[in-house]
Amino acid sequence: MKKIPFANPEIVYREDFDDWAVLFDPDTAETYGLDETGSFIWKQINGKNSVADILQAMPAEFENISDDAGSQIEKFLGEMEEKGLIGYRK
Amino acid sequence: MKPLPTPRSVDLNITNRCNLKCSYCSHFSSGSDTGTDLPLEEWLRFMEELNKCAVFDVCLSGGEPLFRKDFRQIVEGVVKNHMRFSVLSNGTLLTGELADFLKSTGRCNSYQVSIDGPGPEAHDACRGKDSFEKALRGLRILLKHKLPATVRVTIHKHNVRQLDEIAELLLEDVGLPSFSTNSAAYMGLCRQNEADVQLNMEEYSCAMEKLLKLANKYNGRISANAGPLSTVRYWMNMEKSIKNGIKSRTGCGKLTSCGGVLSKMAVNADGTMVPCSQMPHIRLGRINQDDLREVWQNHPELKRLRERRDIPLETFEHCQGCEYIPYCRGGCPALAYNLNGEENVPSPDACYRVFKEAGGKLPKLGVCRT
Ligand code: SF4
Ligand code: SF4
Repeated sequence: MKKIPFANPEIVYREDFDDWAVLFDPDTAETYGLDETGSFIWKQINGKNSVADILQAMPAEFENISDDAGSQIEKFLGEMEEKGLIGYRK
Repeated sequence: MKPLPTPRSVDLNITNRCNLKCSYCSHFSSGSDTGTDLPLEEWLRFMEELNKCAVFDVCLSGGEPLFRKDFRQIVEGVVKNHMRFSVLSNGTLLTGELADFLKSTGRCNSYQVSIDGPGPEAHDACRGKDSFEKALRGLRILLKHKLPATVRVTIHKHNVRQLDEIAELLLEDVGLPSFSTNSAAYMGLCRQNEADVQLNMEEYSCAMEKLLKLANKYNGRISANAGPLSTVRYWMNMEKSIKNGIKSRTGCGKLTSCGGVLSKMAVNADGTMVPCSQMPHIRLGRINQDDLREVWQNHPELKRLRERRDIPLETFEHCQGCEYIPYCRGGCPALAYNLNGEENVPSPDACYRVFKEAGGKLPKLGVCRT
């Protein structure tokens, strides 16, 4: 079954400098830096796109997608889930 | 240095009013004392814009923020719009019920209460009768509710000889982890009450020495962003640099002291956007009428204040020939304005050469007679 990530609605996404963004959790006051790829993935998390959909959208934005991009996205999402930034709909 | 695309935090002076009238208050009689308080709906609408601009925190101040009957709804607006908040307060109006509510939000960064004395005499001299007892009660309520309480001690003529006792009260009796210090500055009501309130050279030197000793004794539990403790550290660093043959310090030699305009701004109680609560005379626009992002990115006055950081100190007649130029950052633009009528000049208040020429000495020379 497809895993669909959704963003914790409390989290604030903020683009600070070119290609860098910050996620802010107002409940914990923690901030998390995102690079260009992280920002792109975060913007794809809309409660509808599956991990496979996100992977599929990447070539339009980035060159040289590595072979293990899928597992890297999974790992990144896993970390975000641990931090309470996202959850999964099944 | 490039400013952020939107401010990260915004100071909201949510009311002009206060239950006290402290003789050194920087608000009353300044440009922020506009006589009008915006209605709740306007603040709530603005908070939606803050959320759209991804602002992380607001600081609720005034006047006395708790003087507003709808203070709780304002905090709810902050929480609803995914932000955190801090409060600057005189502490006298806080109740256990309100503290319960603030705690329940889980979003309070800090709640600052002003305590100026070890007892009523020194505190009430500038803040009015019974205000010490009420402020201390407010502080104890915060601690009881495990809210992040902080204390600001403003040093003036009436408490400068009691700094030991103040530290003992706050750090030992009350058990605060730390407190911060400042001194009455030439702003707002202090301009009228200068003679009764502001430290003279000898008192300022005494406060510097005493605070350094106390900060040492209490292992860094006393801090300062302005006033005698911050100034003495800054000036001692200048002397140390010269002694150690350090040619220059990073970020010095220009008017770089204030980084505020790169990441934060403020709003007066009447909704006027201003660069900083201490610069309420620079009117940038009106909330809910002018676009915050647009004002932040393009207002010529903000650009002018940001460009301040590129102005070399040697271009000022005041600084000509000064050996401290490579270690100096020029001080706060708001104070420069209050003392000199313009922001983009060095503030005489932070000028080590002026201090020395007036006979001021750094602590090691033992000027404090208390
Ligand atoms: S103008 Fe002064 S008070 Fe305001 S942020 Fe700058 S240094 Fe701080
Ligand atoms: S004259 Fe004062 S403000 Fe100018 S560089 Fe020297 S110490 Fe700094």
